[in-house]
Amino acid sequence: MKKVDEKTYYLDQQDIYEFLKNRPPILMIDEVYVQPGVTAYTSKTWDEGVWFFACHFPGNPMMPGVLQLESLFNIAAMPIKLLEGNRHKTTNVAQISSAKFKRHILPGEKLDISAEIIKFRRGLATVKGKIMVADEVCCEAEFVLVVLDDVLKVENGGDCHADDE
Amino acid sequence: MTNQEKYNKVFMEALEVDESQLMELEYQSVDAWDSVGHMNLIGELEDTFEIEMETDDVIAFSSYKKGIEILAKYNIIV
Repeated sequence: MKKVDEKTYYLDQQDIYEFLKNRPPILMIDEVYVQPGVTAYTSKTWDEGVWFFACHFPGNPMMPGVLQLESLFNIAAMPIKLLEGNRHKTTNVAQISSAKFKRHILPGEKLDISAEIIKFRRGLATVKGKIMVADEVCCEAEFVLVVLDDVLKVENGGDCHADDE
Repeated sequence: MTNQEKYNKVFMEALEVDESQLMELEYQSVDAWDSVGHMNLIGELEDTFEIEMETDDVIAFSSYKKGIEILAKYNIIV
């Protein structure tokens, strides 16, 4: 992990492995620029030979929406994970408030993927994420990531922990 | 807005319930008051009343009525 400027860190895939439990093929990022607690950004180009284009759809390849969201979840976890004490904690998606898919993502297109932490408290991060190709928005979503280790048991209330993914 | 009104408003918005349900409201008595909903509720109350609850109080905050007792420890009288 390298410090790029006063607020920003650059992580390559080996660095990412230190923070995320995701592994290929359900790790959708190779590198990421992160401002802890604030934002994350990456770019990614999927070649036509990648596994999901072969089945989604034969003869008409486009990136599945669920994997677009997974890309956003991957980078959104990074600003939370880079906060002190969070590296080894588990983050899961707790809620998707909105998701819009405005444009197909085709093989060979360069994606600009970004996430902004709107609010983070009590282990809940409200995030806005966006995927763009050039100046066109492909996907926008707002969702909540939960830091499982920060979700507490409630007295006499039974199991208060969110389920692992 | 009184503290009572603020307290009720947080519950109604965070847990998507109406006023008639409040007095009997307990952790896990409605779908929205699950583990994640609990932390959201606590966060909203902390913002509204400008306090930070101790961990023991977050854990003990198991009902609408119990929450009134807990807030009193922070000099918030509902």
